[in-house]
Amino acid sequence: MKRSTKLTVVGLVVAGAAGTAGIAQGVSGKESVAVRALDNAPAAASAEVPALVRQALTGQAASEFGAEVANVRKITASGDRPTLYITTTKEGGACISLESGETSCGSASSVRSGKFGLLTIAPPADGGPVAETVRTLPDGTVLARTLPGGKMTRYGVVPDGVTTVKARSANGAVAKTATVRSNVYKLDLGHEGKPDAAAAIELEKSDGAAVTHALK
Amino acid sequence: MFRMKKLRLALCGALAIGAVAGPAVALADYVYFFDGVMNSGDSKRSAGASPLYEVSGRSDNGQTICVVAVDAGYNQYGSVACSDNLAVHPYARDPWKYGYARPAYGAGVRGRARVDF
Repeated sequence: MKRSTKLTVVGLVVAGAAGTAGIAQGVSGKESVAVRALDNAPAAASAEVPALVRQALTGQAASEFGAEVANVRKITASGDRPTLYITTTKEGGACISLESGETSCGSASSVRSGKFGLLTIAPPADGGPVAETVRTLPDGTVLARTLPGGKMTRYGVVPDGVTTVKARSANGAVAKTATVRSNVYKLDLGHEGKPDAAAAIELEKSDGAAVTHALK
Repeated sequence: MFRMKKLRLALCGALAIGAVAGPAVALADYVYFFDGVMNSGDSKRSAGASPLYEVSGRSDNGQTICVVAVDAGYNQYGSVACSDNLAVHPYARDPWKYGYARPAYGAGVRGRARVDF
């Protein structure tokens, strides 16, 4: 009871499915996002939050974004999806973190639309350097060139009602499909710069309605 | 007795965390190494042996920006982290030599990226 009251105050109440109208206003007046996982998942105790996640959330950038470090939710691993940490922001958005600390924060509108997510790119398969210097400026700035080819993985948060997320290739074919559990998903997007790299993601609801977001 | 000991340990732990986090935040400085349109990877060498605190990037035009911490040999620490809004890449080992930012899905990302010390 206490937890649900608190969630209402911070404006994270169940309001509807992706792309629909009727986003409720929390007590604080912020836009609310319909993400039931945040309602249901218990707040992670301080000791449960990995140090690198805490570091990312308390750093300058995430602090300016309004990450509410006292409101970290732990979404436990499911299938091949690892444990994720979801944190609310003061503007009604959210941050998503991996245990290794990589973090992405998004606005309320990006969460509501299903565009919100963290993309990770693994080192190229050969295990060698990931970049090379092009030139070094007098002030020490190094201009570098990336060496693409690493495997891309998207960890996303979607509103209630979205059941499946598909990766579509440039020709529109479905390359990979991920099942949404607890409002979060893990989706393989192929390899950066390679022919199998996904060009868009498609969010599908249980009634078959779908919305597509181009990856850019 | 056991409970008291546990409490005392918890308090010590809290103080220890405060001792580490306090100065790190207070002394944290940062440099923007990218502010504008990025068409290829830009990076910034960290100052001396100071460990980087985090690498972060924000996109202004909704395109995906990526950040990563790498050592002098361009071996990255963990995965590259990318986001349409804000991407943060923390790290534990030091000293890291470069914060590194780059666009994903082509070029022309407008935004900012920085390293914290």
